[in-house]
Amino acid sequence: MAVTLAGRHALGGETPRCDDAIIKISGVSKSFGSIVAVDNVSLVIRRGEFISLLGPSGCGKSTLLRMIAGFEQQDAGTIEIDGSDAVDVPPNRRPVNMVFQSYALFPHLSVFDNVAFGLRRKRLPRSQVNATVAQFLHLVGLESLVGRYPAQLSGGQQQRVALARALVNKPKVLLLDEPLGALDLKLRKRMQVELKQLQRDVGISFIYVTHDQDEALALSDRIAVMNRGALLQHGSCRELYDRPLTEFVANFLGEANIIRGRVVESGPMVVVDVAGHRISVRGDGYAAATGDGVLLALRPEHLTVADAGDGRGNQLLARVKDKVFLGNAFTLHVSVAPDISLLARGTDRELFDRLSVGQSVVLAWRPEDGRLVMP
Amino acid sequence: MTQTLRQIWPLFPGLALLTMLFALPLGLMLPQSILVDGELTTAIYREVLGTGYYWSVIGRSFWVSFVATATCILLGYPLAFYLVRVAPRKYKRCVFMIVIAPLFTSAVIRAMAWLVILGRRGLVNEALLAAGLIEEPLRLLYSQAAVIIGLVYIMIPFMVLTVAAVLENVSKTLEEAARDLGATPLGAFCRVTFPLTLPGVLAGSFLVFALCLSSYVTPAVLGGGRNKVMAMLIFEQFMRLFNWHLGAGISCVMLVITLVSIWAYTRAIARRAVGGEALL
Repeated sequence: MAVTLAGRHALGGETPRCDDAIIKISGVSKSFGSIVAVDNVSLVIRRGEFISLLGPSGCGKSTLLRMIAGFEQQDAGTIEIDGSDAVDVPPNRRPVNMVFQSYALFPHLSVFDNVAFGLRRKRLPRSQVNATVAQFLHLVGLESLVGRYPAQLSGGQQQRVALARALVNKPKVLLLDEPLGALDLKLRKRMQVELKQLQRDVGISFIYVTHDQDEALALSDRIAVMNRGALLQHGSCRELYDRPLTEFVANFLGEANIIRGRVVESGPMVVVDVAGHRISVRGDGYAAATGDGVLLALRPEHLTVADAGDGRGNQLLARVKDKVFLGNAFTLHVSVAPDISLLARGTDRELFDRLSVGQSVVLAWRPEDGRLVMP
Repeated sequence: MTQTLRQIWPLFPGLALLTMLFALPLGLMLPQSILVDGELTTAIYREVLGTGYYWSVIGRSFWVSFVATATCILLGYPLAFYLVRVAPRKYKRCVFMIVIAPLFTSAVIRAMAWLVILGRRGLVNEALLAAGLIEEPLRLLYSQAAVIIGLVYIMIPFMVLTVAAVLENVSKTLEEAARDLGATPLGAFCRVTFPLTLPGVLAGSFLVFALCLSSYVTPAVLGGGRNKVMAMLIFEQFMRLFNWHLGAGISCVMLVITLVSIWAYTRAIARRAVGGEALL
């Protein structure tokens, strides 16, 4: 795509990454009949950030996006856009624009007329419309296709027209509803890179809805994970990956081993009994009293096979069930107890060759790598 | 040779039907317009095209069809819109049945029904008299207006169905996109939804216009003797006056006019390229 400065110039050169809020979602709920689509969600969208609403189908992320855009009215709670309550503001008067999953390009209008649509609704002078449209078509790299119609464009090109059409109106926030879903994998990866660059260029907040965790991790400054209408956790990618709050978040973002145990000692370091072994894990504010049943989340890459006496911290005795060669890495399926199976991941080829199925091994990990999560 | 034969033989039944029921009768009848008493002559056409009376009938047919078609668009489009976009899902089938129900009854009965509604002691007059809005019953029947009303009633299902079919394929997301970009709901309709349904409107108009132009029963029942249309004229020549030559001549003129109309229509919609591709 085009030069970095072009984008910033196009949108008036706002300083990105200020910490003040551009959208405040407070206690928003929405039901369709008996189905609760969005359940008491509160979230602040910051200026200039790329934030993803991540979750499985039906978790409410699209409904939340549509409420921000104004296509649905919340049953409870408020949505403030740039300081003012958007409650009675119809979609055509909100300072936000949306890129739809199906792009929703107007089939009877050319690329130019599609992009110019929003500007013409504002009754701007023709010269200004022409200039701005040309500017944004250049930004997305489609100047040569002005006269074409949507049916004559490829998926990737249609996507860019949809982006230009939305951005040309200089919205305060851009809403994207799984815009890359219809593209093939390679094109998707390429568009992800371009999208992130575009966001940096124009400097406005992007709210991106997706069910693909890889995509969310690749694109976002922050991620908000939703499930069944509720907002489970939000924070930076690192924060969510390293310190998930719930079992669902731990499982949805990357892979996680979820181990059941019982608290034997509480404190800044909590000691948990797992199949007879004493496991230390950081308390981190998790309220755990002695005797409580807890869930411990552990990432496969943090588990190693230890030689006896290797003081790596937590240790579990396990039996190898399967070892799988993946080329640049391998996974190890082990069994700690009849009801406790774990997944380990590593890259040490020699270790891989040494291990055999049925062998007893000692699994080890550092206490700070495990986390207590809520069910 | 056998390959071509194998490919085209499925056409034979259809072709046979078309020949027997359409081409053959036309082929037998049309020559009657230029062959009188075994002699080739243009006398028939000179009479048809030279007499003001026949032109007035042709003109009336077109005018009535045009007004009926325009009214069908004005009344039928909102009805189609209601059926597709507004009606709650559980009532859609019911509304649909109400719209197409008239098609299940004979045209004669439908036209007769309007006699009851528009007559001197019909529903309309009785209602207006009872409301005190008029003192004497209005003469609504046996006029051009009555014919148009009857035609609109009979043709509206065709308009509604063609427009509804096209409207269903216009995604609601397009309207949302238009609204997101700053259009009011009306603006979104005028600039996005309606243009995309134009092919349906044109198709429906053509269908309705063609049906109105060739209609016999409705103008015959509701028009009274004075408001003849082409179909009535032709019927009269063939069946009452037994002047097959003149009937053939008028039929041919009507056929030519209709073919020209079809040609003009197909040119009009072919030029309406949506997305750079012709619709046909």
